[in-house]
Amino acid sequence: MNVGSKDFTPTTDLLAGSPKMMYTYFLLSECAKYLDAMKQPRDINVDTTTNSLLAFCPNTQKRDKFWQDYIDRKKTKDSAVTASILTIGDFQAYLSEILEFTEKAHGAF
Amino acid sequence: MVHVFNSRNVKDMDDATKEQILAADVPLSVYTDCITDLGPKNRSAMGRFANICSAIISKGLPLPPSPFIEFVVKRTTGKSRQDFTGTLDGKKGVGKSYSTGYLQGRYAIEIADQWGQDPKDYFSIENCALLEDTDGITKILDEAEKYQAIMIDDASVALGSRDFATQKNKNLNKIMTVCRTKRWFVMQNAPMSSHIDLQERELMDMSAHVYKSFHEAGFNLIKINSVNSVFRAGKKKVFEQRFTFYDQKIDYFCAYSPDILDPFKGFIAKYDKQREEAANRLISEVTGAEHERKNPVDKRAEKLREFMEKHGQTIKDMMEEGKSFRAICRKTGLTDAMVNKIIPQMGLSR
Repeated sequence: MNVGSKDFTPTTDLLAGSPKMMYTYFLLSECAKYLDAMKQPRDINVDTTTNSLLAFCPNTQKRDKFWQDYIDRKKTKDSAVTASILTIGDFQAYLSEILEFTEKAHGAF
Repeated sequence: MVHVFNSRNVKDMDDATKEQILAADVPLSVYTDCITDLGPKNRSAMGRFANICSAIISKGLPLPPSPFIEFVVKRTTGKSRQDFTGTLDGKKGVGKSYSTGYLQGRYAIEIADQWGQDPKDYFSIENCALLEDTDGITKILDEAEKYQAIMIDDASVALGSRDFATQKNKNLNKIMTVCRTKRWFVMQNAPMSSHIDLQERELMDMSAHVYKSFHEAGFNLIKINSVNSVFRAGKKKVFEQRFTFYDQKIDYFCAYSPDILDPFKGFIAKYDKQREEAANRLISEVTGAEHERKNPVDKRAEKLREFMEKHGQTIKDMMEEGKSFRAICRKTGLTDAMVNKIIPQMGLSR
């Protein structure tokens, strides 16, 4: 990666990173693409986009649950885009927990 | 009177105590969970813990259970016949000794609670080696009974890394290597743990550091790591990890003054007095030795002075009586050369 350049291509650096770092970077790039796509939802198939992102959920049971939540929300919200965004939000919250994006401190006496 | 909770009796906490704790803005989970959740691990985490520690001491709340102390007691009293040793380092005056005294005081309370005895049976000022040389420490270790908490204060004095090959260090290392069956809880203090003999450090189970002092509030925050030194493939590796209790890694431990523990009230006054005496003694010994090193006493001159004191008067009397030189030598048992030296020293002439 050229530090002075604005062209941020850290792929080679990440190849030397931990699996957690590489997974996080990959997922965040996919989320950026997902958000771009959601700005023009008419051009895409929301079901496929949501499902392809959920496919990277490391827990298969959770993945199925998220998909089921999306289906249920689509019926209640009458909007596939809203249901998709809410479901991906839950997915991110789950990832934040299992990947320990927020480390906690503990004290004892 | 400050009540000390442990993980067994905290379940029986009465409602009045619960209300008192909540009124002081201390989360009840500090007591019930035995560890304190400090939220996100950022710079304010230490501040949040310090606020809780400060509230506990300022409002006179009971002391929460200590998972670390319970772990140490379980180890020294368990079936595996192990002891527990550790170092605590920190700059001069940060409160290493007070923190060690608190930890060992709580150890004594915990072990006494389990066996229904007096905490003073397990820790007292007599168990503290204050600036002792090796002889002093070995004497304390020789007299200490099983399951005692022993504090070796300023361990760099007796177990200095610069004295690594001396017989005294070797002897103390031997004791510390084989003392496992005594089931002691030994803590060694030093400004830096590297000041302690390397072999001694490699025997340690834990390494602690005074991370932040809150002298005004009356407590210290310390970091405690377990230490595992292994020798593999010709290289020594030291693994230091935070202690994990209740599936959580503990970042900070709180240590108050031992005086807040009821059985050890007045400990600090006794400690300070003995520490000052020990410091004065050590300084006198070192300066005396240094003076002698700079002004070495001539052994010949010392011998001459000794003979003058013993035989001077006899020689003088015999000289005045006009006795012969040979007679003086025969009477005193001294050689000709020595008598020849003594005579001018006494202002006499042959």
